[in-house]
Amino acid sequence: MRKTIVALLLAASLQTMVTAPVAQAQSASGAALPDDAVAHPNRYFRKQSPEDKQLTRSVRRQIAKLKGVDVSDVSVSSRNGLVRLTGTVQRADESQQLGQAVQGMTGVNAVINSLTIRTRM
Amino acid sequence: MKKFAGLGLLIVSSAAFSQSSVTLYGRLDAGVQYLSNVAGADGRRSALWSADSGDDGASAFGVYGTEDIGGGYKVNFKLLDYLLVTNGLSATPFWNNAWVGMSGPFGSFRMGRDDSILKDGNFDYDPFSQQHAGLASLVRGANWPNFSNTFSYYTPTFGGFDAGFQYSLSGVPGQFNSARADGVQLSYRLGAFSARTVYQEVRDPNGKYSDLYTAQKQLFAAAAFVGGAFKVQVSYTYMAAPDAPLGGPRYADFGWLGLTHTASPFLRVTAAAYHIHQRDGQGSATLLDLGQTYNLSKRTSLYATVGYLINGKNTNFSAVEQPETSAWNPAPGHNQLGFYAGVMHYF
Repeated sequence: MRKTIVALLLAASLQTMVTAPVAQAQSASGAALPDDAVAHPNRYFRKQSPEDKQLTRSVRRQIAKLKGVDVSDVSVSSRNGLVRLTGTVQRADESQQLGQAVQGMTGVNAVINSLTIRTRM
Repeated sequence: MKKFAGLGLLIVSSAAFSQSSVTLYGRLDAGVQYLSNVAGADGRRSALWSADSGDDGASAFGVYGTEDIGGGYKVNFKLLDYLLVTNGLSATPFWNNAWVGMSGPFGSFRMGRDDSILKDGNFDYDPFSQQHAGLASLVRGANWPNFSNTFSYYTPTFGGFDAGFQYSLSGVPGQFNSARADGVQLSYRLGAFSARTVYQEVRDPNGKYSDLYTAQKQLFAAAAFVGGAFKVQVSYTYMAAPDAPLGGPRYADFGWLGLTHTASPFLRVTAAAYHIHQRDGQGSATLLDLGQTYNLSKRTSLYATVGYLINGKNTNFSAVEQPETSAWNPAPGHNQLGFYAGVMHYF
């Protein structure tokens, strides 16, 4: 039992080291992300189909209604069900809450959470 | 066995009921700063290099607590102190925020020492997120004070709209208006677009609007569009100090336009122009800002900002926010180049 936990922890820490320090992808299915989406996100997410744009709008509307999260500086883009969050939030738990909420929205397969923290003090 | 299951349930439900937490948090910002053209006492102009704390954002240490009292209601408190990492001292004698309040279906309410409603309100619309060379430079900090003896109430959101109200009591017997401050805010959000207006009054100890930069009325209006890779922010503020002495600045128009580009998950580049026009020939000034932040992680970033301050004939604003009497100001009518770079770490 303890060995399994240690192995899991190791795997988790390795994964965070391998993935980019800022962009953390959350994928429920564990599906691999397109290389382009990680390497050149701006270019990748610029090419949006009408369906992508609709999903982007829908995600924006839904995150604006979340309680306890300030989304003033959160921008959303999406392609083929992959949603990217960029910008800043006030606290680390808001970033986590947002990523999880978006992950659970209809039409979303995976989330690239590139949010950083910028607290109003 | 059944008894145990029941006990388990009880414990689980009470745990879900009273979710309380106390969080220690803050940020440390250290860097180096350069200012050109600083006015010397003997009329000479010189450059200034200094170690700086808080150019990107004030270094601060705080405690935030929340207690879930059930029924959707929470009791919240906040203690926050600004400090200087350069010498380890508190920026002003302790707790710049110290309030306790409640939140729930009615919105949120808090009492104590708090950010002014304008300071909290303009943060979302400032391209430089309240950096040292930015929205406060041309108004000598008039748009980011903190107030004591303050009551603040924020409504929940109705169809994209929300409102805020703030009132600071004087605490002086028989002088209701002495150093009184009050403000009201209205915000609207639709998808990537948002807009806000704030009206704030700050009175001097005699109850007068006697100084454009310390005791005045301000009407702020701003809009922002937060697109995929680009963000645009624009604002206008009308400032009035009708009781200020004639011959000095009494009325002003102030505004800015900024563009932020998220070039990659790591890099953000921001450019902005700030401009103030002091009415009745009191002089105008412009600040051109170019800056970037490079994220090393979610919580740590490197920053660098260049601000070029163009003073009119009668103004002596510094590129970094300074009071009128500061030794860092240039001579009236002279420009100043400001530059700073450093590291910001959130914890």
